[in-house]
Amino acid sequence: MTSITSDTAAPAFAYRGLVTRRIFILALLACLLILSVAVDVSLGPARYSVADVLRTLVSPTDADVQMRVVVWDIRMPMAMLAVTVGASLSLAGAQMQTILANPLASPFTLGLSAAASFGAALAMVLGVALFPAAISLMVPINAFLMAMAAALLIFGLSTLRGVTVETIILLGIALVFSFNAALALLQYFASEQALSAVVFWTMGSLTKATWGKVAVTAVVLALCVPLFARRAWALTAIRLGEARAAAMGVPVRRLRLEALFLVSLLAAVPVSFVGTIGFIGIVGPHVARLLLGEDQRFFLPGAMLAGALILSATSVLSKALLPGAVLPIGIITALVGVPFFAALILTKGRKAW
Amino acid sequence: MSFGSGNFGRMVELAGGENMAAPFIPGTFGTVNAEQVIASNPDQIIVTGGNWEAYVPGGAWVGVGPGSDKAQARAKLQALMERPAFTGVKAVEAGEVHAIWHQFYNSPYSFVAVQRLATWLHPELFADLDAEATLKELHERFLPVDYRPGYWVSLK
Repeated sequence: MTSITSDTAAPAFAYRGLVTRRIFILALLACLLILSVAVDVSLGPARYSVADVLRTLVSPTDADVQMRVVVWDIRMPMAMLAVTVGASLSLAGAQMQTILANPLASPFTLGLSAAASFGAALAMVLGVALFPAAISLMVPINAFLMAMAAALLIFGLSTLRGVTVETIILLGIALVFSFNAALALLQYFASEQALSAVVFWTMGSLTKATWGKVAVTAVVLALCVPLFARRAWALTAIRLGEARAAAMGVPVRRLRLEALFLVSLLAAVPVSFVGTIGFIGIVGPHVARLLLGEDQRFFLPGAMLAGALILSATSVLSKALLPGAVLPIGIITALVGVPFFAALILTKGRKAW
Repeated sequence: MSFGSGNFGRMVELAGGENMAAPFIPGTFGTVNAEQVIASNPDQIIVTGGNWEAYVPGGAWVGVGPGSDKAQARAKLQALMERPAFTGVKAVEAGEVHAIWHQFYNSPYSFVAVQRLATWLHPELFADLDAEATLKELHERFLPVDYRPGYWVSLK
């Protein structure tokens, strides 16, 4: 009798330890994110002291107008957009990797970003508005509609009979090449000014951040996260293999379609606001997986925190490296992130995927 | 989007101005941190514009150019100055805000733009210079089309 209780107690104890450790890692990521946002808000070419920035944050009405505008209308939207966009892209990548059972899946490998770039370029080079009612938002709306069209195409094709996850990924890659070719064609005919606008757009940037954009990305996140959280167990099960998940009673096909739709929304909205910020959608989830494992209860918040942290830290770097100007953030995410990512993969002894 | 050393950046230097974006933009074009405008606190703000109705219908462009509606262009220039980056900047407070036809960058008449920039930047020094008269004379003597004003507006 005693031996039985000790046998069941040991794994239970180990499990509790594991959960505690994972909660600790999540808390650590959250702390780092808060720190990074704080640095992001206190850093900028207008050299205000940290105390001044803090005072402006706490009581904006008492501060000098210029300082209030810098802190509340320029720095804060950028810092917050880095968080929401990083979290959205990373979550999108995480669930794409989950449902497609492929470590390379991300909003980029499936052609969503390429489609968005093409849509944006249509506006910038030819002045074509896909949705003429809101002309001032022509570029982001074009980008969003194109990205959603690409996503719906993949979505539609994946509902066909006999389409496997491999087919979906190959279709995505085909879309990447088609949209890149179409983009190159537009660039070939573009004027000097339009060309540089397109090039800058495809490098990604947080400089056009406004509170409105922060709100839209936050609302999309707030809509998608509970839907994914409700499916956390099913999504964890799907990583054991489709057949096993199906045997456990998970409606694999339906789950994959639902997730694909949410992921498209999560990727298309931020990309249409900030342009192509590569890499976060792939690396955020991998960092979270290496630190926290596949259990969606931890993986889901972990991926969002990791993505938000990477983009926020990058935003700090983009201001620090070229003071006064803003180095396109898409350049830094890859340049700085890749060595870190490679180190993480190579030093982690066990199999990462 | 701002100019570094090339394009209008070069014309500003030729006219004896100091381009606030030049130290931050290595190439012809680049993005200046919005906050840098407040930090640099420029004496003059010059935007380029044109009638881009065909590209961005109803967009935020300042439609200067031959025969433009100057009142409307001025209203749009004023609206641009409402953006956060221009809050409390010296040039805006003093009304030293100008818009000039963007296509001057790529035109044999760019010297007229340089003249106009020079009179904005150093009004006392170039008191005897009249860019409008230059452009008008150029039309009368050499061009088959009549001169139509509207190539630039200022808030002051």
